[in-house]
Amino acid sequence: MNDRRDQLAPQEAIVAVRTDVNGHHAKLRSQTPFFVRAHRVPSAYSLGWIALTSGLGLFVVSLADLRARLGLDSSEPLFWIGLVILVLPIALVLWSGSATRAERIGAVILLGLGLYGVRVCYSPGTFVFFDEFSHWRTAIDIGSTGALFTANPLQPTSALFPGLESFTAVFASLAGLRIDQAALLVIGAARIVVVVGLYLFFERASGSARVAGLATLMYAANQSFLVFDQQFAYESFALALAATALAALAARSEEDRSRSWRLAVVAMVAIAATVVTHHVTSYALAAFLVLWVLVWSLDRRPVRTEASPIAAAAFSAAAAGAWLLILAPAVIEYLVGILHGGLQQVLQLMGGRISIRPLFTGRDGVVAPVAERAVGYLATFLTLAALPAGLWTILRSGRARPLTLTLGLVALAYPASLVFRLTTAGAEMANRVNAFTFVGVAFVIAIWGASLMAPRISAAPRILLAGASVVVLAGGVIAAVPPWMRLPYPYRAAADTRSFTTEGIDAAQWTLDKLGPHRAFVTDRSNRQLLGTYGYQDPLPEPVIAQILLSTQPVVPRQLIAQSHVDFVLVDRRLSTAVPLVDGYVMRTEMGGVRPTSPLDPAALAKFDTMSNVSRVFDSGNIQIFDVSGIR
Amino acid sequence: MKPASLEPILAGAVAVIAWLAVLSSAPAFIRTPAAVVLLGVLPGYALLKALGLDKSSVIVERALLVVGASLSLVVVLSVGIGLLGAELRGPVVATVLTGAILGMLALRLLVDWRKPSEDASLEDAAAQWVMPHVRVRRSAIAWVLGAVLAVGALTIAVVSSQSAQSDVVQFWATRAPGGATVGIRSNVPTASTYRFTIGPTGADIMSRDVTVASGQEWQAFVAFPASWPPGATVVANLYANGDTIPFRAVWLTPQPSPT
Repeated sequence: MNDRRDQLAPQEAIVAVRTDVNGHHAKLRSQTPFFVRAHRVPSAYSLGWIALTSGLGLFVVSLADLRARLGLDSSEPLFWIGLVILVLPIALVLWSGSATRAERIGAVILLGLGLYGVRVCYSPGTFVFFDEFSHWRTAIDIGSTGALFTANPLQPTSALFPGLESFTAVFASLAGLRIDQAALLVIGAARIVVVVGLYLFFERASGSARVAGLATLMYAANQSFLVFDQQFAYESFALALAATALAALAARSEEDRSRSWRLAVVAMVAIAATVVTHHVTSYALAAFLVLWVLVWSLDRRPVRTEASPIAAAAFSAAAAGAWLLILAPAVIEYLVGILHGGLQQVLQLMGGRISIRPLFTGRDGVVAPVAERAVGYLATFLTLAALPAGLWTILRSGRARPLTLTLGLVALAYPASLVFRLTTAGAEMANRVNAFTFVGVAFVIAIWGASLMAPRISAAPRILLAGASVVVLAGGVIAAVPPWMRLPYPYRAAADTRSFTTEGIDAAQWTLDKLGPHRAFVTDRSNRQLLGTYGYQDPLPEPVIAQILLSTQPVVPRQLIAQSHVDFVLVDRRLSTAVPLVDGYVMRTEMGGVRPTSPLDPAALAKFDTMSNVSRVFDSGNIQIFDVSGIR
Repeated sequence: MKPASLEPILAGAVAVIAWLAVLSSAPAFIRTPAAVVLLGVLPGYALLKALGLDKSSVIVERALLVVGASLSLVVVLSVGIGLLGAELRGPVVATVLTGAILGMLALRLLVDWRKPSEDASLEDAAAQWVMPHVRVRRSAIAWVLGAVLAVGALTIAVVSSQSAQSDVVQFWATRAPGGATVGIRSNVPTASTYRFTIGPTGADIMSRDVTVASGQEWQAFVAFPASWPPGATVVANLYANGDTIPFRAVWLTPQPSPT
């Protein structure tokens, strides 16, 4: 037979290497995974060509960004074409039975870098996502005061978990860069660590490079991957630290205890760093390790190969608990609020007291196109359909290791999280846990996928499966990123990424220049972020701002200005041109929590023009700043 | 006893050079790579050396552990310095970190010195860090093209996002003893002449023509004449290109304010 694919090749499975007592390398064993009949054929792939298609995909996405910046319609098809060019060849390599381990690793690195490139092209060199400004403020505080835990008026919890910001502030200071420039490199490095760390974790958990590559690809399909976890925010960085910890823990084995404890030291350093960097990631990591301990303790096989995760789990839980209770108790209220809101609405939904949230519908009531809805539903269906198949593949082997079973249990949280997606408050919660549940989901799907590839996979099903992977990834993008936010379109009021304009930045910088820092400001949601960073001002809490800014009557705002010792009010007249596409002009519960159907009444913004003892000290056309200290 | 490996010594030298570079006033293109090495590579490398994990893992795993452990160590160290109440400044962290790196490397040297093994020769050390064979072949041109396309994508993004800048004109007036500070900042593409007027309602008004270059700022103190009624609101208007309708307006109420 002349078909080179039928040739047997060196083992596809990874080869564990360790150092013997004399320090010599020794090939221990070939871990042929139980679900893969490994028949490797010479690779038909070259990373160079994958790099080329990745570069081409990124270029096309950048062209879509350019069209969007120019305000041209129909830019989005170009975005999707670019994304497919970027991801599909990588998926084809990872679904291939012939790619080498090095090619798979190269492919997942290109996937991580390529998708990070999409974020960078969206807004090169400047922060543009809402949360980025909050964490930038913490980094500015650390850089300017040299102290941790300085109260952050934009997001108080950010200051309580200063791992990312202290790293970035120190790096920026030593490298001679601005914080935003340093952040670009820090998050880029974190992105590579996430994909490589997860790849190695999956590889150790499965004993297969195929599974590892596929699982990393599927992990990239989680809804947080393209935007939320690529922004300058604590979760993006904490995921890299957690991935390092998991990779180090999975690399341990019962057979080499000396190496195991050394890797445990590395893991614990990474766990400690995770704990001080992000609350949810550290709790998810601790929960995962505790679950792993439970499954591990139930393992009744005569010979255990996995080293005990007990010490790491205990350390993780203790460190996260201690940090929470001693240094960050305020986070309890923050997280309980999110949990309570989600659970409450799910219970109300089950009790028939509320109806299902309109899916694929924007906050302005615009329904997504049919194609998007179809891809979104198909992505969820494919994920749900593959889960039982993957779990069955694990269970039927009868040789599943505790780590494999633990990942299978984590995957079960995904269907449960879908119920939360049916409610407004629950959807936010489901979005937050997606980055963690998908570690299990991706692994289980990959195990099923690898079993399909044994002993080999012909071209048609491989293309179909790679296409399905791209559909799942596209579904994640559709679910997480609304159309108005996918590309850097021109200004729109009350739409976060599209509301951060040069005029707002210039006004914020003017306040720092002419008024000095730390003035008590009232302004809308977007300008609040700009004032807190470019202006280094101290915007008031949102509930106070909402009452002062959005009321059309001057009496109550005047009283609140006096009571809250407000110095200045920044008014952006463009707020009265559109309804919010985000949580509100200021916050979700503003104006009684009723979602507006028409833009803000211009009278609410004009009331400061006629207030006595109020000076208008700045005017740039759309933005005016009022000195209200005279009515205190 | 065996001769000490040169690798930890070389790594220590690199750490010291990087430390000196980041503390210097060298330009960013020198300090940035030094900071990347000092914060992103050497801490994890030294930790793995100290733990004896530098030879026991495959290359990718080692690289991941080096970078991941580096990020983790810097985070733990930085937050630790902050928790101890010391000033969390770049030079402080760099110095403590360099000390920790040298300490871990010294520990490894000590272990190597006492260990009667023969595995730590320079050749062996160099061999550990050799990347596995990767076929370059004709695909090198694809790599280059891919990189060119990626750079092109970023260039388009940078240029188009800069061209999307607005051409806003800012106008302001802040109270100052005996008068007000009035300013204009123009971001229109060319130098422009503006006329501003200032005065209380119903009283004599001062006016002045000002030319402001693109991206530049003009600011001046305007003393309030004694003829102006005390306690009146002073209004300042800005006109463009001989217009009769102001396109910017600010005012100062009589109440004393921090501005």
